[in-house]
Amino acid sequence: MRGSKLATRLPGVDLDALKATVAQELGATPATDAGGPFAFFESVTNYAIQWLQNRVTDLSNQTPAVFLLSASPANEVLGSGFIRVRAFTASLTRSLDSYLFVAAENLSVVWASKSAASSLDDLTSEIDRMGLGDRVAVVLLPAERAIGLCMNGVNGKCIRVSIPEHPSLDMQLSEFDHILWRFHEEFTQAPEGHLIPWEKAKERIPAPQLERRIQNLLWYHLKFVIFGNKLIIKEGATVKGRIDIHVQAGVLGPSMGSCVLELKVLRTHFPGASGARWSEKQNVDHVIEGIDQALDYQSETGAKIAFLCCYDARSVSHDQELPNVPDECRAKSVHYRRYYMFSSTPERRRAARAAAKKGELLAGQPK
Amino acid sequence: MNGKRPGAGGVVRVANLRRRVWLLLLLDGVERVGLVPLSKLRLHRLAYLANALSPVYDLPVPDGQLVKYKRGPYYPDLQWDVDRIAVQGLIRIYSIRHKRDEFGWWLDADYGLTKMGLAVVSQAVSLEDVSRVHSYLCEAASAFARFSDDHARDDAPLEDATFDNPNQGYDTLIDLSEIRRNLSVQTAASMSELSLGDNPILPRDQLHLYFRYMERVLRKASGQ
Repeated sequence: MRGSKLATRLPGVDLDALKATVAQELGATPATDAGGPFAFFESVTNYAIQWLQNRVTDLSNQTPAVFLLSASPANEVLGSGFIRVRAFTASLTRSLDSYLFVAAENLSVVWASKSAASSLDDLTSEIDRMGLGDRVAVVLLPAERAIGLCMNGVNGKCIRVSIPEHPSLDMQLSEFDHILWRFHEEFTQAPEGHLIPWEKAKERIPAPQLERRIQNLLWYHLKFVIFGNKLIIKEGATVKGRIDIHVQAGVLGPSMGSCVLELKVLRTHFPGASGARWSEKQNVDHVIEGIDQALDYQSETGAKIAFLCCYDARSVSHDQELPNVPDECRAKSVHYRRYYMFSSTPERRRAARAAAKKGELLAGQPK
Repeated sequence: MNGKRPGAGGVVRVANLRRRVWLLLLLDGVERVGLVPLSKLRLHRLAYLANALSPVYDLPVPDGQLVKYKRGPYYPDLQWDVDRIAVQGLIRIYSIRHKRDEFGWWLDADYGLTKMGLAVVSQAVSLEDVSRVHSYLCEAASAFARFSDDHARDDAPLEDATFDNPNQGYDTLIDLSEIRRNLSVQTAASMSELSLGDNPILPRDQLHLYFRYMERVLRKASGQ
């Protein structure tokens, strides 16, 4: 890490704390939650999909639940018997039967009240009586596996969509592995890859902002090209930081459930004129940090699987593994994949031939 | 100050009105992140940080001058506005308490917006320049809400680079409007030099990182 010319001139500034903050917290800024009714609808829909997938009981007698959007939930429900729900997650919510929720757009603040209403009409009347009839509302109908967005309040017109009962896909881990490998082949494995991964391939100087570019393209690839599913989220916010890519429940099917992907670039050189270098220890530290991040995000989201995908731009031969990392990942049940970035296509061919001779595969290549 | 409160006398000047809208926008940001009711102490400290870091978002510092007070950042004019707007029905006062500490007696209260206050904010943000300020203040409130506990929410702002500047004594004037003297903005800007690679740190990240930095310094000072 370089020293900061500006920071050293500032009286009283704790340079060590500043360096540590940048090194450890950069990337943990929560995603912005500006978005309005449609973002709210998306938040509730995601929640409902996960909630429905967690239910094994018969839902045919469940009465609807209504979510009302509010910029200030606490203020909205003052004195009306609502209770603040501190941990509003699909896995912790046992019942949504006749519940009213007043919530912030991203469901970060949720107040709940159990109603005695036995139908949507009764629930609507109750909302009217509370003076909240004009609020943007999302109505969840568990019995019909449907969800509706009422832009002009619960009494207004409602855009209604169905929530599919069973995901049509049931992907296996090995299939998903092939998708990740194919992405590597097309985008990052060689200098001609669509991502243009190198600044100077021969000198093994990777392109600027490589980690972020891989994240953007892999997210786009999975979301729009492979799955066509909006439940693949980039930079999803958790209290422990932002998830590089979160494939939410319902995309891959029951076998894999949801999964989180933490992406890292291993390197020896940094791009640009600075000529900064990274040692092997710094690479290892970077990956160990990635393991912890992947586990944090897995526990925060309840994901079944955590991937740590490392794109290897180090100035080492393709089969040189990082010391201890595979064992550490195995011990912590993190699926570690190292994708080596070749400086040229002939180099890739030579490495593939050499590996084949030994009866092995390239790093990260699935069987 | 000529002894007369800003806005006193029945005529509200544009500058005073602007300051009151700013306060409502800040409280709206606080509502959105679930920090309501917000104590007077936290309100002034958050207002101070929001003032100090405005240039990070390329916004002017709305209230750049204050006295370095022994109790921490405190804006008498802001408090006047809070009380006045509360009487007008736009700010809700949740509780009022008296307490005594090592500096003497202190009146404390908790604040939030009323429905009318929210309606005013909704109207105000339809103006483009107000909307920009609103986005910034929501972000500042969001960064403030991410302090990990009550201790940090109360005291991390005291670790602000400008307020904690060892060259600045108590009861002297802090001037945030002059970037040269605004160490908070300079510290936030210096983070780009510390990041790996050549990527500048975006203003939003600078803001959040700066809050994390203050908490880190606080933890270090208290031996955690």
